[in-house]
Amino acid sequence: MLTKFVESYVQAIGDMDMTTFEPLSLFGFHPMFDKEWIARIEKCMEYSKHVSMDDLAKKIKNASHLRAQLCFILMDLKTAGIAPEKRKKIAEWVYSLLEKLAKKDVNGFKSNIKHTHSEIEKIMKKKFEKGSIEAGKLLGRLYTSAYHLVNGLYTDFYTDWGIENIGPYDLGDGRILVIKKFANLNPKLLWAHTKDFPCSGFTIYSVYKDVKFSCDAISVHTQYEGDPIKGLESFRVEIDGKETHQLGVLKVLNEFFEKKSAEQWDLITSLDHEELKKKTLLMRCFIFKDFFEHLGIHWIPNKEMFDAIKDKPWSTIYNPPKKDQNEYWRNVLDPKEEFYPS
Amino acid sequence: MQLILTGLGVSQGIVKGKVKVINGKDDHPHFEEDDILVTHLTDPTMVPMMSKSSGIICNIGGLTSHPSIVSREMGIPCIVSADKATTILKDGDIIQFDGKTGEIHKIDDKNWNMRWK
Repeated sequence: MLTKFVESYVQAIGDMDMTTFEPLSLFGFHPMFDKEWIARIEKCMEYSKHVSMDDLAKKIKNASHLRAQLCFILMDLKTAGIAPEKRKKIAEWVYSLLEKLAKKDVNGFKSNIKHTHSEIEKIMKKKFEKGSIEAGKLLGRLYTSAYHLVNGLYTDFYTDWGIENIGPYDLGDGRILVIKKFANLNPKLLWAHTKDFPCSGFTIYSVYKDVKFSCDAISVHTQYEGDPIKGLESFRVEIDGKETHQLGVLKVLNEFFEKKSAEQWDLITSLDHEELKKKTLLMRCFIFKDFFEHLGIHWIPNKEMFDAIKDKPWSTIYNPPKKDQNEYWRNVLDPKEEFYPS
Repeated sequence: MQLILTGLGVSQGIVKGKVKVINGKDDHPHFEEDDILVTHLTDPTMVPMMSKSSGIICNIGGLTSHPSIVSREMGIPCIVSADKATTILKDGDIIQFDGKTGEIHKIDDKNWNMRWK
């Protein structure tokens, strides 16, 4: 099971240009507090003996987010030098949560399937608007502006907490449904100013005709075959769960996100080295808030975590080769491999 | 047409238009509808320009970088990893590029203003 997960994530990482991460790279950040993070996960394992794993998985909500977090934990297990048996035990525990969230293609090789057939039937009975070039372009712009807001709220590495692409679901006759869910757009505990944002999230349901969609283990890594603008047969938009089809409202929302995405980026890139580390540590704990609290663990980073990152430069422990990195990442991620970044 | 640069095509479509090299958000007021956005790497301050642009070219990036992802969502062509694009291409250059093959051609055509995808 984990071997396939590792293969899927290596495929996802393999297409990345590692020089593009801003304003920081987790490869330089996570190793600073790897032992402390693994200790927190072990505490979760211990406390989870008293709760239902189904209920616990629901606190994560987002399968793509959990895949990313499992990947980061696999890396931490190696940089922290955790023993092989313990690595396997921790990794399998996290993977068991993923199995409860994903209905099919658990490892996310080419899709992110979370709904049952009957759930999709229920969605398709709701009201959808007819697609058009104008609507397709506007939805693409709305996606772009909200995507960049999420980037500033959660950096490149916790993006999945703000965006999850779900699907594709085959509707027959060359039609598919793809769900683009934006959530946690006003994380007040992380960024106080977001309390004034008009919504916490929105969802775009797109029905495409003669368009193929795929994503990898990271659901924002989307690919289309065919034209998603011309091929948009119908769509539905919900803002905080309420149906909103007026293009004028969506235009206003897009303009708001365009403005806020730039402001948020200016804010996060203006943080100095120490502030950025503290904020990103807070971020990593925040995206597990509901999960930790369900287990009776306070979500805030503990003193050991803050101490671990204090006055430290970015780590340089990861040194993948410039070309053909897949083998390197496979060895890093696979808990069975006695390979330790150094 | 002269092939002047090749990068990694990450969002399909062929576009012809005027280059606007963007070095930061302060260049925003000079960006016009359907200009081709040429930059080192897009960032969230460039979202209004991305929305107006008819295509995006970046010096760096991969298949799953931000400009690649959002170009596919907006249905506009995009090339990344076009090394030194911001130096080789100049403001006002008229180019045609293919978001599938990654080829960027410079054209000398006074009647260029007929865009297609």
